[in-house]
Amino acid sequence: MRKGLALFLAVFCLLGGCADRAPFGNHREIDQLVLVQTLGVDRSDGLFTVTVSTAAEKGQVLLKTPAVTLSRAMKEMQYYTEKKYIFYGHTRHLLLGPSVLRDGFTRCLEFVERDGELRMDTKLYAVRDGTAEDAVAVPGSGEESVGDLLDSLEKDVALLSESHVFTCAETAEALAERGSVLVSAVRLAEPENILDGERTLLSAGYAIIADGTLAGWLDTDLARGANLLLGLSDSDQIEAPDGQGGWFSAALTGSRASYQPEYTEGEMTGLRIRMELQCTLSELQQPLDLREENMVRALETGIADVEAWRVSEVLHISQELEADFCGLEKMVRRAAPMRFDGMKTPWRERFPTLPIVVEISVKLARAYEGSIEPLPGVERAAE
Amino acid sequence: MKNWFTRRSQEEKDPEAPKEPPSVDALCPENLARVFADCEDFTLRRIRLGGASGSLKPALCCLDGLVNGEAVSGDVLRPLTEEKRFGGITDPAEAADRLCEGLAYFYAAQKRGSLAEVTEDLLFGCCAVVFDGVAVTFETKQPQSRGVEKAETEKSVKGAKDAFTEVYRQNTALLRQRIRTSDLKLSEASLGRRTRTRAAVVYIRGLTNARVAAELKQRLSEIDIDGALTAGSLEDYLLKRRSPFPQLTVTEKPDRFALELLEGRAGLLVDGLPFGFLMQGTLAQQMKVTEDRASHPLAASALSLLRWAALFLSVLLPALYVVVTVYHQEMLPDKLLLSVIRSKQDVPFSTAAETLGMLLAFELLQEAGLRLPASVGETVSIIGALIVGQSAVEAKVISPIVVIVVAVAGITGYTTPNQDLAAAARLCRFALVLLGLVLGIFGLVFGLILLTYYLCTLESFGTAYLSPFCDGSAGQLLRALLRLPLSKLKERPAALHPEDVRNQK
Repeated sequence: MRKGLALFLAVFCLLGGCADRAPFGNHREIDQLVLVQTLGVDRSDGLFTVTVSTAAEKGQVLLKTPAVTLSRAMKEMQYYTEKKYIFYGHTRHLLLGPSVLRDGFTRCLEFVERDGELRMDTKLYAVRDGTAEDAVAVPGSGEESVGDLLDSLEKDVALLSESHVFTCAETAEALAERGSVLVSAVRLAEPENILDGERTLLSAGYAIIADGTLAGWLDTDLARGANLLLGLSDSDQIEAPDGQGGWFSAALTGSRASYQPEYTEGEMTGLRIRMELQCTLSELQQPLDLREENMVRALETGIADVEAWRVSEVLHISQELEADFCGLEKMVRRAAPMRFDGMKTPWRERFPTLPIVVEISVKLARAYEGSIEPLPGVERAAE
Repeated sequence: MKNWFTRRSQEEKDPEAPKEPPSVDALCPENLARVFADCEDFTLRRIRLGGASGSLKPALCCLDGLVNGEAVSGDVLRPLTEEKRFGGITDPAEAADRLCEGLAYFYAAQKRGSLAEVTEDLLFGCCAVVFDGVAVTFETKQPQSRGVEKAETEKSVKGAKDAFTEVYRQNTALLRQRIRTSDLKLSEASLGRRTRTRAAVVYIRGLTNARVAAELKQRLSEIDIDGALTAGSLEDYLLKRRSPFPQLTVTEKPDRFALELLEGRAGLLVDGLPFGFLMQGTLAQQMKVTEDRASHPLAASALSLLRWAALFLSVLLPALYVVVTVYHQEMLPDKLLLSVIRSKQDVPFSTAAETLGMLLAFELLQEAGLRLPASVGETVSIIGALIVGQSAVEAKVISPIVVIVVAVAGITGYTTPNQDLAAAARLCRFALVLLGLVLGIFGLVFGLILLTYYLCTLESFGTAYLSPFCDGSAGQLLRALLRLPLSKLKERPAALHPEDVRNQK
């Protein structure tokens, strides 16, 4: 019994990472930590430039180091702080500049995977039109940090489905699965859009990463189409023509997609993507008589046309780049796994030339009579 | 008393006493006086039985202060001296018989034939009429009680308020008032070579497991010590292996004692101790409060769960704080970590020193508060906790977060109903902090494994200390954690192996 306990204790002491060198030898005093919240990586002249935003009482403190490797850059950063330890365990956001997206994206992901402190649930961003350093430095000396801006942005983009922020783990998994992936893109706000003079970050849709390098961009409009295909579109605001010469706005409340591949003699000859969207009418440019079913159908068709265009465009880009970044392979296989696995031509070769038909049906809710009578001062549309 | 009895020294000899000294062990007033030599409270008074005409001259003996003087004078001495009652009696044995038959008024009389018996009766507060070779003892005890008062450590809002006292017989009476059945058995024994403390094994025949009652009697009989004056000295001898975790439940409330007897437990009442012991103490039992039965099942269950959570928090919180802040900072959410870092800025001591120091300071404050008179204790607490604590934080000697952690651990510890269990939890708190400091989360987990293992090895009179967590069904587990409706609790706890399993139809 006593021998067993002694052995148990010894094993714990030896295996316990905390007692790495000696008991209590691997500890870190909490007040000596510098907490990194956001990490920006750029690349130029073969060097990685790492910019970090660390937590401070107000705003943020920026540190920047260029080095041949990411590890060295992060270690060298230690020289620039008075405290004992720069702690990367709380890094929430990883921003990659276009230079890294073009050369070094996979390396960065692998680094996050291997590093003992960085977490795989760190949110990944691609910086469009600028560098990661610029993006990290956006809040300047204000009271906010770039981490706060990105946290806020993540919620905002979900409202309009302009993008979706993936973690490093999700990105690495998708990259391993289908060879291409979408990374949420951000850009610095244009000066004319800044009202209070404070710089900020805006969504810029998605960066398309194929075969480990930047293959292109999807702007926010097309990002909505991609989100529909990815099944990430639960909230959006869609503006479409009402068929009476005006526009209306509807809120997307739900979507469902089904994939129907067509096979002929062991070969996939076509793919039909059917989508059902649930929307609620939120705004009319002009009063419409919504008691007429045709009028409601016209509105639904308007939404369907807009979304069909977005989805088709995304599929077109995907096929053109030969990058299945929306993960269609998985969906199509799920529809008929045995047929899919028995295909003569592998999916990756078949996908770029596969005829794809997109069919979208819309169900518009809340199109009730409240809008029949125009409000004073508003003219009814020509009948 | 002193008006009626005159203390006599050994030198005062009765002129009519036999000239040859009696044998040392013989029952006679002289030998009794020898036994109590140098005992200034021993009183011996020669009386003439049946007044002036009587020929027998027994001695009335007692220990001053232990007997009720009024009862001795009115109910014993007075009838003894009345000529019409004892006139003409010359044989001591006949006189003793007449006394027992009711010629003296007192309700409880015992005829004794040996010096040892009389000595013991005197020590227990009886007065004795001693003849040569025979004696009659009367239970003329003086109640030495502060009266039945409110329980101090087990507060009650909707339950009974009374508490056990130091008087053994009063305690048995309190119990009898609650369980009016002849099946309630009190098996008495004397504890301590010199203190001769009276103790009783209490159980309900046909309900309590007979093996447990017999085991308890056996262990009591095996206790061979000088004195049994404190609870601790009894617990040390009653338990085969005493642990900081209480394996005997101590209660000062007769209603709880009675309830536990009805559950199937055996109890122990000891003269001089204002509480009773309950055997087969388990962790689950010690987390129960009698008051729960008075509350609605939902409210009582919520409080019960809260107490369990508080116990875990009390044991684990300081160790978790140390582990997380020293080794595993990534486990804390960003904002909390930042807050902790800010609170720790400019504090000169390491987290380890801070936490251990604060835990020690907390224990010292608590000890000081307990040992001092109530009013001074409160002052010490206020000075210690508020003034010194706040000043230390403001002077950046300790960080506020450590104060919060230690205070929360301390306060949650106070919710533990059993004070011995709370003390054991405090010991574990220190041990886990030290293990966490040395080995991080592995140390904490290792400590918890050890603690669980240790608790699994404990038992109380054949019942596992962790019962029903280690050997019970799901229903028993729920019963331990929650307060189920009493109508659903038709059976007594199986772990106690009661002879009568069902408690209702």
